[in-house]
Amino acid sequence: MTATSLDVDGLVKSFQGNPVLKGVSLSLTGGRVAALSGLNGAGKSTLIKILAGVHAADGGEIRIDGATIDHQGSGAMRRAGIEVIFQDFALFPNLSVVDNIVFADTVDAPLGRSRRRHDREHAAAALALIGARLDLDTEVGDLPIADRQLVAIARALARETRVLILDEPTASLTRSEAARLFSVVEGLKAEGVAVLFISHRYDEVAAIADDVFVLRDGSIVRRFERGAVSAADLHTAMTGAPAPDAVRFNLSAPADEPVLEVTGLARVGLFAEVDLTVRRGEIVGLTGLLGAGKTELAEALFGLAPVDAGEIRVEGVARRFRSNREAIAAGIAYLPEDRLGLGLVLPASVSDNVALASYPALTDRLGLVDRQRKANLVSRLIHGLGIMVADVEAPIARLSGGNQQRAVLAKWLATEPKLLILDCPTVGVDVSARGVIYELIRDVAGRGIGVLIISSEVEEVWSMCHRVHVMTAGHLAPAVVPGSGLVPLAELEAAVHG
Amino acid sequence: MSLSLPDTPSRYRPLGLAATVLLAGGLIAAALAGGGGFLSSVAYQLPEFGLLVLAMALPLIAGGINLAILAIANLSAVVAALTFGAVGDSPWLAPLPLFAGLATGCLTGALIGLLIAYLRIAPIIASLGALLVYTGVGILATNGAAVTGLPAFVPAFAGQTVAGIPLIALIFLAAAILVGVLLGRTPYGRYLSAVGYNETATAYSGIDTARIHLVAYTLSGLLGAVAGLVMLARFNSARMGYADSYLLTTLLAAVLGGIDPNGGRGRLLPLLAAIVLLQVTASGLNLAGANQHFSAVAWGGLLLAKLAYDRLRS
Amino acid sequence: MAEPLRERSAIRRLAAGIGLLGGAAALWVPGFASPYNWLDLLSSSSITALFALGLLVVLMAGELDISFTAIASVSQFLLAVALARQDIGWAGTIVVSALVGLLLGLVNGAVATWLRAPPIITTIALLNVYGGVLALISRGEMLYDFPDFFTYTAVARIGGYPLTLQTIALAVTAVVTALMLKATNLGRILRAVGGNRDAALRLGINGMTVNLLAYGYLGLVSGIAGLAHAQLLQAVTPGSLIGRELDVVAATILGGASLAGGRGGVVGTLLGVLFIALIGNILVLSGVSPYWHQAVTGAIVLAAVAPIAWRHARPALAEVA
Repeated sequence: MTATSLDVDGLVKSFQGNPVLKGVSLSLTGGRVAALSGLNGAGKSTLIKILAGVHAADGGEIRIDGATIDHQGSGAMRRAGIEVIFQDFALFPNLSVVDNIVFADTVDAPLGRSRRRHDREHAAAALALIGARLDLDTEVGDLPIADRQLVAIARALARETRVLILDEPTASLTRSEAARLFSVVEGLKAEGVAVLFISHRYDEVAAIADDVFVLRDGSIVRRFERGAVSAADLHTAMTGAPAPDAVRFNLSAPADEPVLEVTGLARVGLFAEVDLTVRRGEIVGLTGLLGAGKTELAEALFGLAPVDAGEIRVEGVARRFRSNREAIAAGIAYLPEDRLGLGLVLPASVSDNVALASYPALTDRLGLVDRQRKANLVSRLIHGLGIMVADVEAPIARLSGGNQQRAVLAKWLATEPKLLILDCPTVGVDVSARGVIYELIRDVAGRGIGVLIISSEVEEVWSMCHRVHVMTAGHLAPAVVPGSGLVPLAELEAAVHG
Repeated sequence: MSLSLPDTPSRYRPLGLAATVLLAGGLIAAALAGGGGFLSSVAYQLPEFGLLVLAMALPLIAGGINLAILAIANLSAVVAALTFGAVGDSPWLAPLPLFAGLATGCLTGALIGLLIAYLRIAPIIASLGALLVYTGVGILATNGAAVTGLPAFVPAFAGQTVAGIPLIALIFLAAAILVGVLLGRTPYGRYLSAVGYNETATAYSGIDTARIHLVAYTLSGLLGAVAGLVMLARFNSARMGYADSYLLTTLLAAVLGGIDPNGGRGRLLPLLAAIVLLQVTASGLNLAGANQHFSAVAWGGLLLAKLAYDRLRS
Repeated sequence: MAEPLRERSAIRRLAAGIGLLGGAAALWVPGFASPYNWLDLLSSSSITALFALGLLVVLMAGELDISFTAIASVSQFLLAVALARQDIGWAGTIVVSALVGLLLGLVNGAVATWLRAPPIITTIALLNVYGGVLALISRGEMLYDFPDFFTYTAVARIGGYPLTLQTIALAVTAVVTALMLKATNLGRILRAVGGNRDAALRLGINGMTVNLLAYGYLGLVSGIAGLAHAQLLQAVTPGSLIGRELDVVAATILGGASLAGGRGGVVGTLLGVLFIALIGNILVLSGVSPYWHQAVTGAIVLAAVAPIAWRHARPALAEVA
């Protein structure tokens, strides 16, 4: 039996006159794993949506085992054996595990009777294929993320899948969960399935991919084979520019006064005995694997979650936050990972977004908004952060992604915080645009604000921070000072990944 | 809402379309019925309608809805009327019933706000349930009948004019201006809109979104109460069930006036224009002898047409 | 398949409430504990129950339609007009009622889906359009000229016991709805669409088709409800059904359905209807002034919904992942 082959030939797609895919060609073979890498906006998500049948391509061909797929609807794609697992899994939280796994059968026979026993056997078999042990009757909405991903994969496998496409599958997984996923992928390889996974993380790509396709500006610019790609090669192919070496940023020395002092902080089941200090003008990094408790710590610092033990002091004053409003009033600002969903009110104007957290300082004696003061504040911040905006009264949704992120930062800087907590500040930011964000962070620290960066990307905290803490399973190790002479990058990586 | 000119002229296009249609209809009817008297009747009928539209607008901007505004208006009027009955005919004691009516509006609105903001009950359910309760309480208090026997200065008030403009119209204008200032010039207005667009992001930015909802529904109740008091004066009586058919028209005015039923967007000027146009058309239809059912069909059709227009434009 | 957890707890709560109320009423309310009272209760609440079952399907799909009373009104009016001219028999009667309801329901579904406005607003508009047109055409005149077959209270007998049309209609609708929701793939699809419409569309489900189905079903059932109502009263006062939307919505929400979609079940819905009907029945039998009814019902509904909402509340600040 010949191996499955999927050929994508010269796919072209435009949205409202903007070309997104300009002739994409790649081939997948059963029994091999391929990686698709590229920057945001390169066209990855459009490509996989076409392969999922959500969009139809404007031009080009998709052939499975040599046969062209004509009507590129989701039905046709699934019948061809192509299954896509999106980042949000597209699961139904109010349906049980078994109902989710066999859902494709349900869609194919909408007028049919539901066959409970058959469905359960089928679902159990699919779960067994990937070695997952889950209760078939649990509502998927009640499952943790990693388990939900397993349900999504099992759903894809419940059909005769010949091509499995995974979109950034390890984005929300801990390292052990990611390892489990990779072994599942290896198993699929052995079954002759062609796997394509989207990732720009070099270590994943190097570990698991037999072929690496790099998408840039709407077309495939390079194809690497296993073992023949270095991190620098990948970076260059994705961005079109050579990769910078891992350098330490030139940071100015912080002051002595602490902005934040945390002693013995604990949240039951999440972290314990956390001691942490951030000084004025200091950039402290907090790194560790997913699930180590970093974001949970940040939530506690920002008043989003109660603290079970320990003390938080802001500029020497002990605080107990009952809500994030109290944390903000105490001078703490928090930029969550989901900047667009939680950081911005997209339909509102740039001006309204930037000023959103600052109105108490912008009102006159009558309680009305002082327009001049507001305009001054907004203008000052926009120029200070280099935000490119044509009209501050236009909806902020019109700004580019990078400018939107800077606007979120602007909003928080407007509150004149003492401590800025940044959770995964460059997730979703292209490698080429990260430099700008780092500059801004350095700038912020230069103004005397304490910065706490939370990131799982070790290189990032190594190059950007005065001191770095590694968090492992709820325990915070004492800070180390990164630098070639002090703690080299490799040593820090080892401390995190073990 | 801004009192200055809007930034995108396209905002006025749907209004322009509706305006032409309605104005034409209204003016034709007016011409048939006789000019000056027509305008006068519009000026007297518009205030209660306009106040109710304002009462409907605030929760809509917050991303919710208050289906109980009529019940609140009538209940407030009933409370005021009963209080008049208790304190007698002295105009000096008049503030008491007025206060009772307005307080009723605030409390009934606040209750809905509490259900929505702190118990997280969906606005449709909360306001529908409140509608039932308030109507029930009102019917209980009145035995289902109208409360009459108000002191003479009450209906007289409805007829008072200042420089030829009915006092109640001025009251409505004052309320509209206050709402416009609230929405366009105060932090609360920015918060209300932000909550309607994206409540989570707004809460993250440190705004007490529960309080925003509470205030929105309380003000909605207060505006409803003012509308109820105006009706009390105009009809010289109070009864649960007056103006119940206004629910659809207030929704229509809000949507025609540029308020996005999904929340976030709302400006005063287009809203005022929609109120005027709808009232003119309603009065015109009335004078032309169209019955209430014809109006119901017209309003329903118009609302659907406006929604369709928005859909085609997006 | 067992009911999911949330629906089961709604059923348990309602059962407890009904048990308590019923038990207390049997002891203290004169006339409550008689089969005649219960049959009466059943008949009069059957109309609400029919609406609630139809609405359940729409809510399941994540939509909302409050124009069902107007659809029922139009349907029963057209039926009365038809019956006044011609004896079309039960078959014809059922077909006419169902078809009119179905057609209007399909219109609702198409319009609501295409407009993409909040369905509460769209269907309020439709309610007024249907109701207004009906009032204009019928001029509010009551119709009561029905052929003989229509006038029998008991339309069938089982083992000597009389069965009313209302009971049969309710039983059939309940069974069909339950089967559809629990035992067919269609039911799962409806539930899925309500749970995550975006995912459903991505997985190849046609959103318009599902909506047409849901709204159409509600329309059809509403048509039958109109028929049942007309037969119960042996008269059609055009538009008299309009106004009881709240009870129906309240009953379905009490029964475990959610405005967000993807939740609910037939058993819960029927219990919700029974609960509300029980309150009314007790108030009437206790000689409590009818003016109390609305206030009490509203208060109890709010009180019953609050704990459900509170427990499943999504706070304004989502938990950071």
